Amino acid sequence: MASLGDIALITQVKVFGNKRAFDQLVRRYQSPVRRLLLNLTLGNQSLSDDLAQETFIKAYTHIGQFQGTSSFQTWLFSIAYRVFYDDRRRRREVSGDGREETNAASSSLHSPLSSVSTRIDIYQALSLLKDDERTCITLQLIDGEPIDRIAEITGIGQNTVKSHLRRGKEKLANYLRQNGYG
Amino acid sequence: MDDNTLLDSFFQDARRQQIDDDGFSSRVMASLPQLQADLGRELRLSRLWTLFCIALAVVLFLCFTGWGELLTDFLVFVGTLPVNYNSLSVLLSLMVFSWLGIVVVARRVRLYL
Repeated sequence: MASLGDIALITQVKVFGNKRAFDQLVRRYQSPVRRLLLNLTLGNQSLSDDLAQETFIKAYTHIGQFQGTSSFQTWLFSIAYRVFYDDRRRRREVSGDGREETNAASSSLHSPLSSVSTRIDIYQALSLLKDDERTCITLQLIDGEPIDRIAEITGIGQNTVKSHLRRGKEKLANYLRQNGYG
Repeated sequence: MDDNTLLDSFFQDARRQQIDDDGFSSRVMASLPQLQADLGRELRLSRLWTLFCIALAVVLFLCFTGWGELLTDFLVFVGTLPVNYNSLSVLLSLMVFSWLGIVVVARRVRLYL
């Protein structure tokens, strides 16, 4: 359920078209949304910012559809997820399967999140996963979302989310151990 | 170390990551489209304000017996007119223009409603 502060701001936007209220919402949620997209795009900062901007524009134009039954962040994440997948589909149509993934991974080697002790880049690790696995892993292990909320964000069934998490964790754990982490 | 603990430790920094705004919000706000709903809303608010001002003017006119003043002035005007053809035609013209003015105002008010 959306917080009271968020509800007040969202009402201002919905009823009065108050852009300053929407600006406050953007400032409040830009970090988690951009971080999610940065992880999904394997550290591609310009792409993730473009997708994040598209996410907030869609949120503004469709603000009337927000019911308040989930948190505003969950709703934003579900929009961000769809924006990311639409973009992936467009890029696959243009460049073919897998090529974008490799490019994104190689551009992320200077990520600020590199582990100092083992030099394993988080984006390198995430690049091993399929899109759905990466989404579920990112939402659970980085954003701390429970399984039911991941299912709500992605529109995937809870059992499928659990499968993606199990496979994703196995792949990551094996990769980390093979590279001397832990 | 089990898988969950291993991954928990690996993603620890990622969980704490905060991204600075760095002008992002301003860029989003600058890109927002002007919604049809916004335009409709602005027009409605503008019309409501105009209607409110008209209503206030009417109320003040009645409260301060403006109607009485207007009637008195009209009767004095009519009473002091020389009775000839020219003054009657002037009076008729005034009445026609007043009637047209009332019709135009009434139509505008109906549009707002």
